[in-house]
Amino acid sequence: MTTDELDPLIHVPTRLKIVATLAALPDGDTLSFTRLQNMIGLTPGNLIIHLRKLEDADYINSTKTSNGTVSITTVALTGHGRKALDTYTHALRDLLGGL
Amino acid sequence: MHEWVSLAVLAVCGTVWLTVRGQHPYRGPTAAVIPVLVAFIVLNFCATVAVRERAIAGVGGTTRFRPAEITVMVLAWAIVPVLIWALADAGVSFALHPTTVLIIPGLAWAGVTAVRANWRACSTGLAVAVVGVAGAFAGPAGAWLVAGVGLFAVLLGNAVAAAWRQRHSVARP
Repeated sequence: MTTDELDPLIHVPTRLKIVATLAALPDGDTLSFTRLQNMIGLTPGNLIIHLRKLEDADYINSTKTSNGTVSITTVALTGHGRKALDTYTHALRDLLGGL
Repeated sequence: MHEWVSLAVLAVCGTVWLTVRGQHPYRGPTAAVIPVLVAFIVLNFCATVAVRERAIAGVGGTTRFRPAEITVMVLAWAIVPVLIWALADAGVSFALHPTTVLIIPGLAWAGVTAVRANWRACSTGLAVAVVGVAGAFAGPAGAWLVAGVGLFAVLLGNAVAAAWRQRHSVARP
């Protein structure tokens, strides 16, 4: 086992928090940007940067819906993202298993 | 949270059982116990709703109950007094047992969660209904004990199952 198996995209603490938070939801369920921001404790700008990186890798998808004057952004973990977290978790367990 | 609720249910139903077990004939919980019982049920319901609403704020999708599911559960609870009245009117012995109220809501919860393929919650609903049926064979005073011990076991089992699943599956809710 090498540290290469630890997905660098997920390994960043903030992105790990984001992915783990979204993984707690059932498949297809979404979380609002505002709630995610409150849970992770990031500024909107910081969160957007991390979400964009995850979205580029197809780990999450975001949807923007407009309700008159208010627009709501929601994010969800994709199947690919869930699988990546699963692989990451197993790799980390394998790595730490000898301790 | 389930483990604390299970202990509270055991304590409340156990206390009621201790006050009614010596009654011959059975007259039911005393006037002093009934307000405590009602307050516990109301408090438990409000706490459950408040905790759930707080937990799912900002969440969209299947986590939220659909209006049809809420309607089914409300109807299930609404039908309980009617069912009890009908059973009592027909002279059924277990009509006024405290566990009788659990049967219909338990089955309704099992049905609603089965449609969602949430088998843990479905099992919980079925187990609650089984506790309700078991109470019918325990006599009016014994039904309080069955309710307390049965619901304690069901809620604690649910908490253990949830904890086990969290421990063994990080990436799957």
